Amino acid sequence: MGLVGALAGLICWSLAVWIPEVASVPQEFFWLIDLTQLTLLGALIGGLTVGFSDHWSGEKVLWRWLAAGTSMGLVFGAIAGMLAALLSHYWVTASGWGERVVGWILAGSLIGLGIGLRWSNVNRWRALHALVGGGAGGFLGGVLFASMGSRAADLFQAAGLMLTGMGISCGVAAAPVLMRQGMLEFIQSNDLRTEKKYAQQLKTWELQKGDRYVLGSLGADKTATLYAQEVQVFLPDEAVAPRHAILTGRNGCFYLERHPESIDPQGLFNYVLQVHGRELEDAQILHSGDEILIGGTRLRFQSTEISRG
Amino acid sequence: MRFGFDTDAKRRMGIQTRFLVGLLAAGIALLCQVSAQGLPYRLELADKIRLVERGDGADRPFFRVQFNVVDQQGLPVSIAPPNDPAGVFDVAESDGRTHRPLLLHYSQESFRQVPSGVPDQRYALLLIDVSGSMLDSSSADSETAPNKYEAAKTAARKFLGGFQPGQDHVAVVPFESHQVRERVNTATFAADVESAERQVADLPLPQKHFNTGLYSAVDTALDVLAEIKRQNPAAGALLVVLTDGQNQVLKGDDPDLLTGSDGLEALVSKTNAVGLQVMTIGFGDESIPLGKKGAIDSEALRRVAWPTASQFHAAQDVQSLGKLFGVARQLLVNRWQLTFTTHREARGELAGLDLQFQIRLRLDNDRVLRSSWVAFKTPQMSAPPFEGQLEAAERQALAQVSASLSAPPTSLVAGTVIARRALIFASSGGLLAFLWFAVPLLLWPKPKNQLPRQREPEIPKSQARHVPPKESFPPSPNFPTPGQPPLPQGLSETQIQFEAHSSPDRTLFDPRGQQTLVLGPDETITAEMPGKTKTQITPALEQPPAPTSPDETLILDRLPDQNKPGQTQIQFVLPQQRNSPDRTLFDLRGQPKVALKPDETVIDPRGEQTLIISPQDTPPTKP
Repeated sequence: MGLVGALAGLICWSLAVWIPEVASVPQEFFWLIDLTQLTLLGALIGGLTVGFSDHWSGEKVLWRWLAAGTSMGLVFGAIAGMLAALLSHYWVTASGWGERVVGWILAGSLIGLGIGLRWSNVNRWRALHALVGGGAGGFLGGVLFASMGSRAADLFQAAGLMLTGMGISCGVAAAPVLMRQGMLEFIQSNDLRTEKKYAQQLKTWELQKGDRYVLGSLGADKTATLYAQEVQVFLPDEAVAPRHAILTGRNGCFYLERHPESIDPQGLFNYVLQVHGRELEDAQILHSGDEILIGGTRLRFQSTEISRG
Repeated sequence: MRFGFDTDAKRRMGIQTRFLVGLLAAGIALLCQVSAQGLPYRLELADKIRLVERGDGADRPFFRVQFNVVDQQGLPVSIAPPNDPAGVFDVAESDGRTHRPLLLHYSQESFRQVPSGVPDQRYALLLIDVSGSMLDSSSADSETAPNKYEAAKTAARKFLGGFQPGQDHVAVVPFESHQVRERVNTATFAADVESAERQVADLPLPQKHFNTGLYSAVDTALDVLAEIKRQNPAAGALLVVLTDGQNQVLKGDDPDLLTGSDGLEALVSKTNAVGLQVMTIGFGDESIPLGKKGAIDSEALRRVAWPTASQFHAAQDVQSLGKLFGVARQLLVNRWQLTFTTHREARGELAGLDLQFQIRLRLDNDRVLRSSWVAFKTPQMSAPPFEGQLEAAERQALAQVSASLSAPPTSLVAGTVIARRALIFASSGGLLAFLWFAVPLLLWPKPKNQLPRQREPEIPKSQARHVPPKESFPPSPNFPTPGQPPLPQGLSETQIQFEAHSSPDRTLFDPRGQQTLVLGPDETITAEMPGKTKTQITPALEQPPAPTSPDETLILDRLPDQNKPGQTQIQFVLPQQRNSPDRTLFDLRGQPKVALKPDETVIDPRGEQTLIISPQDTPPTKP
C-alpha cells in the first residue's frame, strides 16, 4: 500500500517537472510552483490511496469516494502549499536548507492528515498516523532534495516526492499493520461470493485499540456517505445483515456486539452472530482464537496480546 | 592684420581643446574615484537578482542584477566607469566562489560592444498624493510659498528634465482615497516629454474631503511595474511615492483599501517580494508627532522604501522636494546592470539551493565597495524557472567571453532533458513494479506442490440462516397455508440437488443460499438469469419424483409460555437439523422459538400468500 503513495509521487513529478519549462514565473510567484505541485501531489495521493484501499479491502471502488479522496488531498495539498509559501517568506536563512526540509515535512504531514481523516470514524488515531507518516516521508524527501537536488534535480525531486507519498500511504495503511493488537481472519463462508472473495487471499482485517469496525454486508453502492465506508469489514454474504455487528477495541480488550440495526423492534435477533457456537446477546469480550460465526461466514479473532477479560 | 586662425592654429587649438576636455574629464573621474575612496559608498540593489536564460534553448542559468552606487544617505553617486570593468567588478557567492561579470551596462553605455537598436528601457511611476492636506502651504514660514500640490507638480517636472524619448517612460498618477486602484491600474507611461508634462499638468486639484489611500496606491503601483518587468525583464523600473502625511482611510472612501498595521505589513511583504526600487518622499515636517495635523508617517515610509530605508527622504519645501525628484531621476539613470553566470551549467543545478550573492567593486587602492548579500531563493520543491532571456548585447558579450559557454544545439538539449526524464520515470516505475510484484514473491514464496487450501467443515445450514429475497421465493407446498392440509407424506415431491459448480451463474441458487430444493408435484420454479431467457424447472423434467423422508417434515409445537401466562410460545422443531428450503418464517424471526401474545399474529412475508399464525391455530405437525 505504501507503494501507492510512491506511485502518486512519481506521477506528480512526471507532470510537475514540466512547469518550469512551460511557464516563465517571476521570483515573487515561485510559491505558485510549489502550490501547484503540492496540490497535484495531494490530489493524486488522495485519489490513489482511497481507490487502492477500497479495492484491497474488498469493497467496490466508488467514484464518489475517489472524488472525495482526491478533493481532500487537493485541499490539504493546497493548504500545505500556502503554508510552505508563508514559511519561505518569513523564514529566511542563508542556505534555505532548513526551511526547505520543514516545508516538505509540512506538506507531507498536512496531505497525510487530510487523507487520514477518511479513517477517523474507525479510529481517530488513524489521521495522526497518516500525519506522522507523511511528515516522516516529507522529512526524508526534503532532506534528499535539499541536499542532493542540485546534483540531479530531476532524479531527486522525483525521489523526494515518491518518499513523501510513500510516507503518507504507509501512515494510512502500514501503521495499522505495524501497530495492530489483533486481527480478524476469514475462515470460510457458505456464501460463494464471500468465499470466492476472501478465501484465496486469506483475508485479514487488522485491529487496533480504539478501532470501531462495523461488520456487515452493506455494499459501497448502497452507502450514502461521501468520503468513507460505513462498513469496514465487508462480508457480501446473503445471511449477513447490512450492518450486522460492531467490533470495538477499548479498555485493553476487543468487544463484539450486535449492531442495533440487526435487532428487530421486538428485540429479537434476526441474524446469526455466534462466538464459539454460542449466540451473542450482549457485548462480549473476544479472546485470541475465538471463532465468530456471522451469518454464513466464519471468522477467527486473533490477538497479539492477552485480553484482560 | 587679419584676425583669425590659420589651419595649423585651428588644428592646434582643436588638439588643445580636446586635451583640456580630456584632462577635465580625467580630473572629474579621478575626483570621483578619490571621493569614492574617501567616503563610505556602497552598492545598493535597484532590482533584485533575476534568473535569465540564454534564449536559444540552452539550459545554462544566467543572472542579471541592477544596482546603484550610493552614499550613506542612499543618494546616488556618480563614479567614473573603470577602464577594465570585468577586472574590478565581481560577484561573490556565499560558498566562496567568485564570478566575473559577462557584461556591464552603465546608463546608456556598455563596456562591451553593444549592437545598435538595443536601447535601455526605463520606466518610472510617480505616485503623487492629492489628498486634502496637499492644499496646505508647502512652507509654514512663508505665506507666499505655493501649496504642496503646486510644489509637487513643480518637482515632478524636474524629474522630466533630461527625458530621453525612446528610453524613458514616465507615468504620473495621482492618488487619494477614491478610485485608488482604478487610477493606478490605468496608468499610462508617456514615451515623450510632452505627454509626461501633460500628465503632470492634469493632476487633479486636491479636495478637502480626500483622504490618503497610500498603502493601496503603492501596492497597485508595484503590480503595474512588476507586470512591465515581466514583459521587459531588462528594463529599469522605479517607483517614486510622494505623500505629505500617512495612510488614512475613512468612511466613504474606497472599501477595499489597505489600512492599519496589517495593511502596512502586507505592503512591506509585497515590496520585498517584487524587488523593485521604491523611493518614498515625505513632504512636510518630520518633527510633528504622528496623529497631529501635518505629520508624516516616516516610519511607514521607511519600511515601504526598497531595498533599504535609506530610500526614504524627507522634503521640507519646494526646493528640497525638487532636489529629491532629481535624485530619483539619478537613481533610475545612474544604474549599473551586471550580467553574470556561475559554474552551474544547467538550471536544474540550482534546485534545492538558496543562493546568496554579493556584488563587489574593487577600487584602485584596493578599497572595495560592496552590496549587501542578496538572496536568490528557488522554489522549495523544484528547480527555478527562467524569468526572461539574455538581451542581444548580453549574448554577444557572452560569445566573446568564452567559447566554453556556447550552448549545444537546442534540439539536443531538449532531447537530453526528455530522455533523462523518461529514464527516471521508467526506472522509478520499474523499481515500484519490482517492489510491488517481485518482493512479495521473494519474501513469501509459494511452496512447490502447494496443497489446496484445506476445506473447513461446512457451516450447518441450520446456523446459516438468512432472509431470502421476497420475489424469488415461490410458495412451497411443504409449508402449510391456512385451510390447506399438509401434503401427504412422500407423495410426488421432487428433490433437486444443485451441485456447487453446476450452474455457472447460479442465479437461482445463490439468492437462496440453498443447494437443495424440494418441489411439490405441481410446482414449477423459474430460473431467471439476468439478461437471459427464463428457464423453467419442473419436477418431471429435472428429476423423477422422490419420496420425501418423514424426517424432512417440519414440526411446529405450540406450547404455553411458562414465563408469561396467557401467551403462547410456538416452537419450530427442525428434525436432524435440516432446514426446509423454504424457511421464510424462521429466517425472518431468526429464532427457533417465537412467543406470541393472545391476539398477535405473525405474517409470512412470502408475498403471494399471507400466512398468519396465531396462538389459536393448530400448528402443523407431522401426522
